[in-house]
Amino acid sequence: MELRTLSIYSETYNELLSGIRVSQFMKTKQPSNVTVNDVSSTVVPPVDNAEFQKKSCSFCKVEFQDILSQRQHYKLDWHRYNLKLNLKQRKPITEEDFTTKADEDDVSSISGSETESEDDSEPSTVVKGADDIGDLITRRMRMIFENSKGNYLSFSRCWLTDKKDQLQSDLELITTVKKLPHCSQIFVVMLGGGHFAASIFKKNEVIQHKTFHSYTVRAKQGGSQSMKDNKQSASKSAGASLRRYNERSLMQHVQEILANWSKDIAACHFIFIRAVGPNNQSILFSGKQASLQKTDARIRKIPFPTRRATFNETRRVHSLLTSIDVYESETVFQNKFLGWSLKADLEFEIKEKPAVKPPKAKPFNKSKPATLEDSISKSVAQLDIKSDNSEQLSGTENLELSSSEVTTVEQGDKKKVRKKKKKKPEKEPESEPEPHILNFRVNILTSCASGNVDSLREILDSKEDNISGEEVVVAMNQMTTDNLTLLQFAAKNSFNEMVYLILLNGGDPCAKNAKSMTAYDFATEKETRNVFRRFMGDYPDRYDYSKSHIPSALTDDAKERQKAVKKAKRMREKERKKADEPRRNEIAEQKRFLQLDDREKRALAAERRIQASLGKSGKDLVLLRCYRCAINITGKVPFHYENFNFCSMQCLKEHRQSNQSSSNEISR
Amino acid sequence: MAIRVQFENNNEIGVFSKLTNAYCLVGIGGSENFYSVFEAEMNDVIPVVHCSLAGCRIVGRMCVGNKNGLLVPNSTTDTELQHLRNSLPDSVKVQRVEERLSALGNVITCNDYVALVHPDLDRETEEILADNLNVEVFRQTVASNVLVGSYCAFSNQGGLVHPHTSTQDMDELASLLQVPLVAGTINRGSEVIGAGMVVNDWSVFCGMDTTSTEISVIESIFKLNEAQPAAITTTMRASLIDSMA
Amino acid sequence: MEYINSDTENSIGNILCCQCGVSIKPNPSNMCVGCVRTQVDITESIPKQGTLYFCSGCERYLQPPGEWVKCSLESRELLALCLRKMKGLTRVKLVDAGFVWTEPHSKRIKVKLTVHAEVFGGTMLEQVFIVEFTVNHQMCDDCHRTEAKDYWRAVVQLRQKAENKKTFYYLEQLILKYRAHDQTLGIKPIHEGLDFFYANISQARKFVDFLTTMLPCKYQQSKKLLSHDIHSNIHTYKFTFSVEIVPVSKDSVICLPKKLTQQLGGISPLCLVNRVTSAIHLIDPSSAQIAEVSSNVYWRDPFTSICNPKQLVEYVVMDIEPIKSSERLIFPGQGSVSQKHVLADVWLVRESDLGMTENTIHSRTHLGHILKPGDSALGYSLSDSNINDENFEKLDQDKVPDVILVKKHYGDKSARRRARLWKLKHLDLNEVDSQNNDYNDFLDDLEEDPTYRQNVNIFKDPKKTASGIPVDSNNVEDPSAPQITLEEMLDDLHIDDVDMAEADNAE
Repeated sequence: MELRTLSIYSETYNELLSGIRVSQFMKTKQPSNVTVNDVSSTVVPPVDNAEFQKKSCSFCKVEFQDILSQRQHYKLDWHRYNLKLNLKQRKPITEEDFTTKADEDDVSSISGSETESEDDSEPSTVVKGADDIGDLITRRMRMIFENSKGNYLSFSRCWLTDKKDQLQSDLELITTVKKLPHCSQIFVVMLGGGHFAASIFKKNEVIQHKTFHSYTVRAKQGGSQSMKDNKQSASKSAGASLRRYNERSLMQHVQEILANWSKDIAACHFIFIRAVGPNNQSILFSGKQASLQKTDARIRKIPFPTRRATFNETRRVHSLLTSIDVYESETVFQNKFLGWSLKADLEFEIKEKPAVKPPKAKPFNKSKPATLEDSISKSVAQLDIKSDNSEQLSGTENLELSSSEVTTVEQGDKKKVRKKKKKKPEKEPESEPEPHILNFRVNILTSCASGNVDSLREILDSKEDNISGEEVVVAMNQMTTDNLTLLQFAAKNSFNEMVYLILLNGGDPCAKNAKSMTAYDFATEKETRNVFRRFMGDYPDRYDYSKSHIPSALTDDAKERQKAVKKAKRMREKERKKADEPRRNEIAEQKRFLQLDDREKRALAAERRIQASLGKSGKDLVLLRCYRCAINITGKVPFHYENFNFCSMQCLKEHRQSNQSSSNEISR
Repeated sequence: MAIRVQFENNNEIGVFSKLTNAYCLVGIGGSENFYSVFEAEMNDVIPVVHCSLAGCRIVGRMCVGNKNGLLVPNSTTDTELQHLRNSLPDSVKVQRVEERLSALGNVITCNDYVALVHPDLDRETEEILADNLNVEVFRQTVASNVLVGSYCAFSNQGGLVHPHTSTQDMDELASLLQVPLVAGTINRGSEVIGAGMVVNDWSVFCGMDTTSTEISVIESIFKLNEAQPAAITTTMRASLIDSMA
Repeated sequence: MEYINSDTENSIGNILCCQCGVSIKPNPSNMCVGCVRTQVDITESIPKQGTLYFCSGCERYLQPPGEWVKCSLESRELLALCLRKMKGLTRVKLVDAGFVWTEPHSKRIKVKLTVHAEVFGGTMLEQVFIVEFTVNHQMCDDCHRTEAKDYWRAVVQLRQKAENKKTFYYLEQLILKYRAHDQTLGIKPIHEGLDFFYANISQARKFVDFLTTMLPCKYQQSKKLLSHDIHSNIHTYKFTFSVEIVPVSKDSVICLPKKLTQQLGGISPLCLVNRVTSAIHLIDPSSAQIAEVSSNVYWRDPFTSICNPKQLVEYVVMDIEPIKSSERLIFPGQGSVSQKHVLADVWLVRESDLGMTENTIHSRTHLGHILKPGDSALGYSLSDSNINDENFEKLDQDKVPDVILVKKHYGDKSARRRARLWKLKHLDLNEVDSQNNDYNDFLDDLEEDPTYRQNVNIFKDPKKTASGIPVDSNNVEDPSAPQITLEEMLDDLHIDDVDMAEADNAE
């Protein structure tokens, strides 16, 4: 039994303490831990202020005999070091201290602009050349004691002191160690990641405990919500608000619990805390009636890594803290402690594997191949896509090609001109047409452009045998210089005969230009348009006229019919004119009558009456007219007024009014 | 004689110019006004050089120099360096220094004999400084400011330091520099003395905002008006001679 | 080389003020206080003059936007008012404020302020300055109304041709509750009604609208030309709204014209007015059938009360027998039947004849839910009264019941009055309280009918509640007597309201 672990509350604890003293392993590093802040004991009487010239350095708090030494001083590293301390609002150090420091430390680090960061560290913390074990001891936060039996006892350092570097004297340490079993009541509180666990132990018994968890840590991203909110603008997601609420409630909860336990906590001898980060700290130490104070001397930090805050974990922490390691002898200690360190590190790794290490290690190990694979597969995928694309591209080209082939084939079979065809053939990478065909085309083009119908006809008639009908059609549909088909060109220039000829030889009337005008639309004269219509009448099946904008076929019959219709119309007009004649006469008569004045009207009436009495009775004889509107009122009973006769009261009234005004005029 | 001058409506003329007993550097500006003021005042005595350093007009903050030499930062281009060498008298050594704190004017201030430098200045620079400018170099702060070049200005006659400098520090500095010092302001209460003015042994240029009180302080401390030297100086001289003896 | 041990703080030397050359301690502006003060005026943003508005009628000051507060000269309130008037005080820190004495008749108020503000990034500057306020006269709305009391443009003449004033009491409470009298210049009680005066027609019209929504009434409008200006085509009129409330009130017995009975679902012509809201709610005591007569319908076929409330006779219930719903007469086209009331056969004896006669009078009543043998109830004896009503005369006299019970009678009126722990507010009508009985009847009604009092603000009577339990402990009350619960009562908050006068009608 070379190494055993036992609780400080066990019976044998006190036996072990007999003749206990601080191990020499601890002593090795003791001197370097002396604070440098106590200003050197070499006290100098105050400066003589009577002399005006200051032969002193206020940064180093030194006074000089003469100005030369002062000037020398200003070039010293010591001065510079103190200058920097002064800038950091710290007290200067004496030259002796500086030299010791400089001996330990790299002197060059002080003078030289590149070592600022090193200077930032406390001068006291850096310990060089210390014993390995001593170093290990401090690193592990242990304290080693020896007892009279030569056993080595390893204590957790946190029991004995609350600060890193303020170690008490040996005597104090030993008394504290002896008192340890009486410090029976211990409070362990752990807080982190929304988990809270707190337990109060009395010796090894749990007297109070409480754990709970609330959702405060941002899933997958990590970090608390409040930290995130502080860093950047607060997110408004439901999760974020949930976490925010949970953080508040967690704080409230914890503080409530602490408040409830305050009596028990007050009775505790030690308080062990694991609260990482300012947030968690503030939860524990803030609040209206915070039961924990930061300055509380009982508070210790848990000196080793812990897992998630659970009740079991608090128990584990407690048991680890309250146990001490007892080594049989120095050799055992040296072997074990060092060995332990290795083993423990290993063990620790193994233990912590599910908790801490794997998430760090695994992703790293894994990530490399994963990323490699990923990237490879990605690039492969990209390649695939590229090749796909290229295939697609070529595919579409092929498609286009084949479609144009199809159209040309159709063209050949049916001799039917398609709309597409007109543009396509030119785009097609056709094999160079044979010279005689080319010649033929040029001839047709020139004859068309010059409007020479005879030459065109001649060309068509005298075409060689090797020029197929197909070729003729192609030639007929070629473009003139201003992007018109021959047919359109001819129509535009009213080459009527040529239009007919071109149509006959396959010039497509449906071909459209950019403004979707067909050849018919180009025709400016009626006669040209008639040529189109006549052609349509002659060859109703030649083309698909529905797209050629030609309204209807014009045949000779149609012309005849049109003429007949016109004639009939004229006849009807004539008849109507004839029928209208008496009425017109009447109207004229009435007009004449109205122009007469009243006296003449009366005279006329009398004259008529006389004529009537003389027996010159005629059917259309007008005996009496209304004096106002001149309607024939013969045979009717007229409205009399003075000597005037009227057809109606309306007329009478109007007459009177007009007369009245005139009479008024006169009377005035 | 202290002269008020403005660089394109900016009072921080120490930024745009550098004045020593042997030469004067003036930043290239939009208007010639600034330059012509210096020209008018200095042309007969010392060369007034139009220049830029590392493409910047803030020549006063970029370089440091005295009658013996001129240090320019590493970023200075070859043509600029050549131009300076051509324009300055042969006695003036122009040297490029490789220094992390490249605004040499801010971190170093000097007269013809002494230089104060930023505590973090490189050792090498310090040596170059001592060699080229022929000065004794002290690492020091002015009123707890490391930018000694910005917060004080001194010639061989006297010096003006940051208003917050304690009397004790001022006394020590004075003994270090062997010139009388006074705490004061420039440009109507501005504390950046070095940036607000340029000075040599017989003339001072300061920003247009500088008040008459400030001017009078400047003229008296730099001994421009041939006034009776202050008692402080005489005593110091005496003690200096004492200590040297 | 010797160490200095003194820990003396470094003393910072003086510098010269950059403006005037005075020796000062360095500060962020490096100027002496005097120079800083000449350079910046921290009170620049604060106007040095202001205006206060003062109503000389009621000696109050206007606190914008619309409040008038009473404050004496040099008082804290006035200071608060002045400070509130000052703009730009937010930019500085107010340290002290006080009045500088001014002659009370000078119409000037001077306030001396001490403010702090930060200048040049760190220098705190204190400045004392005086702000002068001119006190201007402005008449407050209340005084304005008082001044223009006699000047009215529109009057609403509210009339009811009825025997009792219950409707007016109810209306008074409605007006109080909805504050419909806010813009009224004056209210004048006259025979059979009230006149309400208004400064302009729109206010009067608003009030008329209020009336028509609350009560069944009709109105007519007329105007009288006072003057007109032919040049500007401005005419001044006085407007009169004549509003007539239906002449029936709660518990009136009415006789409907035959046409109306048919319209109202074959209700019996002899009906009791159950409630008056914006419509008249009728109930037929013989069948508990109910009907609602809107004001339009009413004015088409008006009817009046056939009995005067003074004719109410007290009866004692000898026996009562509820009529089962199966035994009820049901006919097609019948209107709705009240579910709140229980139809019952009741045998009555006149209270004055109690014990003297064995002959009980049989009647049907809708009050079966509250009456039990031995209770007394008030009713109209139709057989004994002389009724002059056109519609009534057309009725078959055999079918007219002898007695129509109107309501249950809850013991001694004065006892009830004493037990009443609440009170109502009143409009100040300067009215001689002659209809004491009517008012008490109205209060009884309020107690008996919760729906009736839902539009009425009821207040605790501090005199009664203080004494708590009625003084006469031997005065055993009818436990069934309806009470208004304390929850329904409001604490009287506006006891000093000018418009209201406490009327304690009990004394």
